[in-house]
Amino acid sequence: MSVPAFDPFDGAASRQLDRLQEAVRAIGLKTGEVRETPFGVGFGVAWSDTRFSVVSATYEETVGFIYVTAGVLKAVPQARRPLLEVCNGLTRDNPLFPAFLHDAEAGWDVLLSARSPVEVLMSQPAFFRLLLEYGPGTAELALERFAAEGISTAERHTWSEDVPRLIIRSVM
Amino acid sequence: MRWAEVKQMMRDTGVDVVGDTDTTLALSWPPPSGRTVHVMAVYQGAIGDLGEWIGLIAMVCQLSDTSLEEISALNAELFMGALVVNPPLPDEPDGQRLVTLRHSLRIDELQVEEFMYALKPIVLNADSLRERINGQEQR
Repeated sequence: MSVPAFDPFDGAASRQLDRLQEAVRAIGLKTGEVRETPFGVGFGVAWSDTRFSVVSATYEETVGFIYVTAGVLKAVPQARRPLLEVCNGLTRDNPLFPAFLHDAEAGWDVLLSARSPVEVLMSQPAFFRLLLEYGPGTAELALERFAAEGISTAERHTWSEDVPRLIIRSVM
Repeated sequence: MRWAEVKQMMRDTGVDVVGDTDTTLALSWPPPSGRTVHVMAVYQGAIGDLGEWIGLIAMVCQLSDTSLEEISALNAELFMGALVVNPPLPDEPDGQRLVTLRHSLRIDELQVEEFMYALKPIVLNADSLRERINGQEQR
């Protein structure tokens, strides 16, 4: 699905993502295509259909920062307080990847998302690789934490279906 | 173990060291506001095959326990560190929970520049977030 996007910076976000995509390829990882959504632009880096990270940027900033995001729970039952408590505990244990409840009308998701300056990732490829690889593994551990609290979902985020969903939810 | 070297490196930066144990180093560094921000460096050990890590924990403020949503929203704006609400303190009034700003650093190859690159925004963010959160609480 290709969605015509409004980009007030005349493609600045897409150009920044192109640079990051090259950086990801240079560290030996394969990326998907850059996807434009109505709210941001991004691409995925996958190891399997359920083990992937999304790199994204919003159109609204000067594109100096990007998000590296991994999905944890998709369309989770809407129990705000227990979800926030587990997210808080996950963030306490792993502040590199804060856990967020994304409570859209279309459904609630839990994501792990790190916001980082683009230039740091460009100049520190080992750190960029760490973020990309660490996200999905951390998401697996997060799933176990939620399950221990009796919180689970029937569906997982998948590479084949949910890259645009995670791009949108990571930037808004 | 690099922890001993990293501790010495932190001392050499000139940041005030106000406490020292086997696994922690308590630092104090004033942001431009002049207020004091306390930061605890905590040795976390090796994490799987990801090497050795330390945590930086800056004290922000105390809150009633109704603010998880606001804290989570603030995290979306940060690029260094994440706010967390800690379990209730046993000797504090009901509902009061300590809010800290946390960050993790891999120390296998940590140099002073990278450490300071993390420490400065942690201190500045902790200081400004304290004002912001306290302002929200008072409204």
